[in-house]
Amino acid sequence: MQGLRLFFFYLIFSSLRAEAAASRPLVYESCGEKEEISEHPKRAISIDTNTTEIMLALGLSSSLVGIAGIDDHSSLLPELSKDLAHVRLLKGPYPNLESLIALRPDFVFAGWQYGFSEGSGLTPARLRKFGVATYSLNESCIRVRSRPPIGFDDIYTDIRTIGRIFRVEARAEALIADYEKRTEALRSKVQAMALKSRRIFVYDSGEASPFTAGKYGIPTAMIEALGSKNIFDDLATNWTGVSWEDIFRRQPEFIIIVDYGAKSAEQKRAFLAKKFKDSGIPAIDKGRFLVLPYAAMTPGVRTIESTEKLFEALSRAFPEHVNG
Amino acid sequence: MRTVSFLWGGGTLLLFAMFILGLASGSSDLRFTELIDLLRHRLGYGPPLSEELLNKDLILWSIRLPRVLMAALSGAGLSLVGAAIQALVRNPMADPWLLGVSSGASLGAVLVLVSGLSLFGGLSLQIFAFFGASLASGLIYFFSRRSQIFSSTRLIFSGLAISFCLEALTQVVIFTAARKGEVQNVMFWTMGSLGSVESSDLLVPSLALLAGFSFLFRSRTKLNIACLSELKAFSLGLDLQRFRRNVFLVSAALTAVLVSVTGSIGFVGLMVPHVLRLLLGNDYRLLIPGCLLGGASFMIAADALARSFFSPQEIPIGIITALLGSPIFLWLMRSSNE
Repeated sequence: MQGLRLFFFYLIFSSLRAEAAASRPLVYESCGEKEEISEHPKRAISIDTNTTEIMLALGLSSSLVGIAGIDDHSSLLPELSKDLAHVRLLKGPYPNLESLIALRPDFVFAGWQYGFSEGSGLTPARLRKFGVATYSLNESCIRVRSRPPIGFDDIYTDIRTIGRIFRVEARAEALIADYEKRTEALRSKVQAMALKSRRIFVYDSGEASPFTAGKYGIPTAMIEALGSKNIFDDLATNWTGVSWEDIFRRQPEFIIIVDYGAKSAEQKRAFLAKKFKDSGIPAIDKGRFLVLPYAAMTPGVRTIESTEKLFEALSRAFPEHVNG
Repeated sequence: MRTVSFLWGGGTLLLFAMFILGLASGSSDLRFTELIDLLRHRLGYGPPLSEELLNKDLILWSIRLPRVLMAALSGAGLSLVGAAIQALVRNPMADPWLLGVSSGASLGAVLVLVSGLSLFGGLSLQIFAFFGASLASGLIYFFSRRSQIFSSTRLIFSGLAISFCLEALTQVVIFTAARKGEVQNVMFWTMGSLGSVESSDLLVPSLALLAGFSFLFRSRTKLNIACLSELKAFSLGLDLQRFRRNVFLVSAALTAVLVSVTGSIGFVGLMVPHVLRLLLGNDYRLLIPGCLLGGASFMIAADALARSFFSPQEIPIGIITALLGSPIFLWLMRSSNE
């Protein structure tokens, strides 16, 4: 049986290789691993809200056969989620291998802990054995290998790679050009206003202990683009648990609440306010909060817009530093 | 002897029924008739498959079959080890985790993941988990012997102490890891999961179970004697020290192999032997085949439920084994006369 299966896989792989030699294969990199596909995927699955929005923004809804997400599907941007009638909405948060294979996909766009994990059996290596190509979100690669500091370039690489894989390079470049222009505009505004560096805490969830973004999480890139500081930028991961004592010690001046999950943003805010009542934490004393949805705080097409919102919110929260 | 053949026959039937149930359940629909079609197709006759059935064929043979087989192997193995350890320490509360394999395997796995080490390719995780498990058992073995005497009490306490110590070490590694992201990748190890099992994972556990079972099956009368007092064992001519050492080594090795593939699935090794004791009595001549077939059947059923309850999500199998096993056990205990 075993030998037979191996032989079977060998046949598939060798035929794939023969085909690839005929047409020109597309080679791309996913978390440092070389991936090769012979033609652009037609039955793709995307496993989180932010990855799905990247695909939809590139006009790839017709290539999708299934989507999943830690968030409810209704949280997808309405302007992007118009023609999803043909797409299977997998119940969340993250589906298992079998329910994916049942959709006969040829491509999966997800990330480590954005759907992929050891133990669940849903990994790029396992999917490859079923002839399914994968691309892992750049930000998530920190879960499997060391990598350079996070930046908006990580999102551009994601968009550019998905664009190449699905042969919509022009659309990808147009999106990236727009984002680059807007970040540039933001940077000069920040400079012109001499916006002071602020200590910012990203509150994802958690009551026993808070879950937050570390050095390699995209929120750090957003915060740093505005010249401020993520109070947990010393933690060498993207998202992680910390302790309440650390929040107290690091005295955040501003808090971003990630809006998703069982607790509403208002509940999360009330919880923080009660927990740190009279503690002297500036952000809580002065009520300086900004609420942003999950898909806006994970790498995707809302990141730049969220950074703009954060800029507005910071300017409002600290008016003494805004000229005119 | 008639009881024994009845047990083998009934147990095999049960196992077969659970096997079919395991193959038929999961997050994608597979009707019973389709399952029969696919089985017939695989055996060489039957109509050619439609595209939809081809996909189900792939799911059945590449995802479900390895899983069901691994569930059977680990259920059988853990139950056998549980029964053997209970005789070894003459304590009904003993279970396979007393041998420290679970905590040792976790430590080995965590070390590989946080160091990013991949000496043996994709297998490194399992190999290191196995080394960790063996190391833990070795330590426990070392501490539970003094001047060649193997003490049950000492085994229980050194087992507990070393497990706690290794678990603490695992936590230290997790909390000081440079790449904290690996933590979630490791979590399944402590809960147990059959989700990542592939057909290539099955060979070593099958051989280990075969070896472990044949050893315990040959030792079934000795296991009965080992449950008696030391004096009686001696008068019946059993070298108890030597026998206990062998049971320990075989059990530890079998558990280490299983845990390196699936993580530590709780409850089975403790409860299945007890349920069977209530049904069959304390005779190891019945318990050993009973654990093989009953343990395998129980685990396949538990995994089938873990896969279909909240489909397409999966619940950790340890939750199901406890949820399913506890009521069965309590009910049996109440209705027994003891």
